[in-house]
Amino acid sequence: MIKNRNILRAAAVVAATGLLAAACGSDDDAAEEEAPAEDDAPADDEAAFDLEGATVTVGVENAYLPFNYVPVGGTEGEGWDYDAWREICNIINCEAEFVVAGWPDVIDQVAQGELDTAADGISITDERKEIVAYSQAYMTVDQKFIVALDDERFTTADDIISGDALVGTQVGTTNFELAVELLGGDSRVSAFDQFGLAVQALINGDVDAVIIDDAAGQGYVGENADAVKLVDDPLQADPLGFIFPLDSEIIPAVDYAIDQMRDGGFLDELGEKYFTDAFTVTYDDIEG
Amino acid sequence: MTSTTHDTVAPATSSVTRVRGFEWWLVIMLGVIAWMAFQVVSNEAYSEAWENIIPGLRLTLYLTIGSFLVAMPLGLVIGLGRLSRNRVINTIAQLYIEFIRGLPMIVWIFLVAFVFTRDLADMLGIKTRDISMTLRGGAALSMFYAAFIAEVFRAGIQSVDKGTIEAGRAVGLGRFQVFRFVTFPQALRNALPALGNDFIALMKDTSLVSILAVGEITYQARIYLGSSFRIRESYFILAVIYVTLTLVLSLLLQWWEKRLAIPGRRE
Repeated sequence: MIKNRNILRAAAVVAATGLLAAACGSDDDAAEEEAPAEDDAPADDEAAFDLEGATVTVGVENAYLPFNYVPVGGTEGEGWDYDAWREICNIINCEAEFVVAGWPDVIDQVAQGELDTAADGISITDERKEIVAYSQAYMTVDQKFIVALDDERFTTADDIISGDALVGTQVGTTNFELAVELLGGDSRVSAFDQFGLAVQALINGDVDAVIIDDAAGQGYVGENADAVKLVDDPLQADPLGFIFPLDSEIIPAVDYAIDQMRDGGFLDELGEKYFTDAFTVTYDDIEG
Repeated sequence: MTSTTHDTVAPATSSVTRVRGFEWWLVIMLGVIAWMAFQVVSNEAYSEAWENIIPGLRLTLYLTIGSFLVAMPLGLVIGLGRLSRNRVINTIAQLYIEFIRGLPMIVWIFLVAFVFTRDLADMLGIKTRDISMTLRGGAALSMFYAAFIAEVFRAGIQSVDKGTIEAGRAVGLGRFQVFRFVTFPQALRNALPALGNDFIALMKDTSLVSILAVGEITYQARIYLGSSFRIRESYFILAVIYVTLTLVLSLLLQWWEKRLAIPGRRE
């Protein structure tokens, strides 16, 4: 009977929709349980910190001076993160493979186990700790403002905060969260997809200031020295760490490597190279 | 992405959803929308994502309607320019159309927002700061779609039965009067389906303006998931909002087209 057939069809559709909804409504996929290639011995001694040449995929943005960027004419990325991870792999015997990823999507990618780790001047926060694990803090940065070079209005951070200055920053950063907190809401905050766009907006006059970690701020100031300057008034200190999937087994090895780099002076060397006037790659040289 | 809907004037591949008779896909889609509405009300994660994303809807609608209202007359002018027998005007119009249609929307947005706005501000002697990002995004959308609308109008005008124009002249109407009372009304009716396509495509392209930190729904979603990591909820809600908007606009446009159709005439 035609009536029954239509009822059957309708029931089938409802059932299918229900199934579809149930499937879509289930929790996030559990992180892949693939044992990392660098499956190491449980012992606590130095031999355990040998990853036996295993490949570690490191997510980088390649759009964050001076931590990771691709210079014009080159195909390989450069920056603090690249040097640091190559040294880490020297110490614990691994092969760093850098993979370009977007921000803040890279955090989710690491959480899902798509990448072994990521390096992008990532602040250690409790919210992020819920979905990714961190190495020890390898550096602490201060958040600061950068403003236009010829801007007379702002000498302290407070000049920017009080008043109606527009502040630019990047989506999904602790900088953004701090800006929203300091300015009492997000009406004066513009969050761009990359810091480069925020700095561009600053140079164009679309925003009055950019809130950024001072290490990166130094990078953009050094390379746009004729257009922007740093307001040397720290807002908040953030520790930085590398992120890993929650079930990662290489964190102790990485922490050991960081200790070695700190004690051996390598971290200081990197600081000299990237966070001072010695850093000479200009912003215009950055490709992509 | 959007280029597939603009290769033809006729809605061969259409952004406008045509509903003919009882469509199962529509039932399922409505089911998904209903399920999403249920999640927003009952599930805390979805509820919070919704609350953070939906404030952007106002800007999405402002940008869609505002940009389209500007794109229409602009497109008409350019379309007429394409039909002009004046070599100079014709060339300028064609140059505009071909150039814009040769660019991806996102590249055009960057050009307008970070290059042309600066030039304009210098020319007018004002600060780029005074031209808001929303205005820049809206202008980029208008200029982009004007190029497509120009082609739609051109085709619409050219497809008007010459006999009616001759009749108009024969009754003593001047050239402009013929255009105003005979050609344009018919051209508009011819162009309606394609214009509807473009309207909906423009609505979806407002999502690209998020790159300028303009607070429409895509921007709101990115901001929210940047700190909450509710990736799944944010993107699902965003998708369902756009699909719902497209569906509603499609149905409204279809209804309007039916109202304007001449009874007995094949569409």
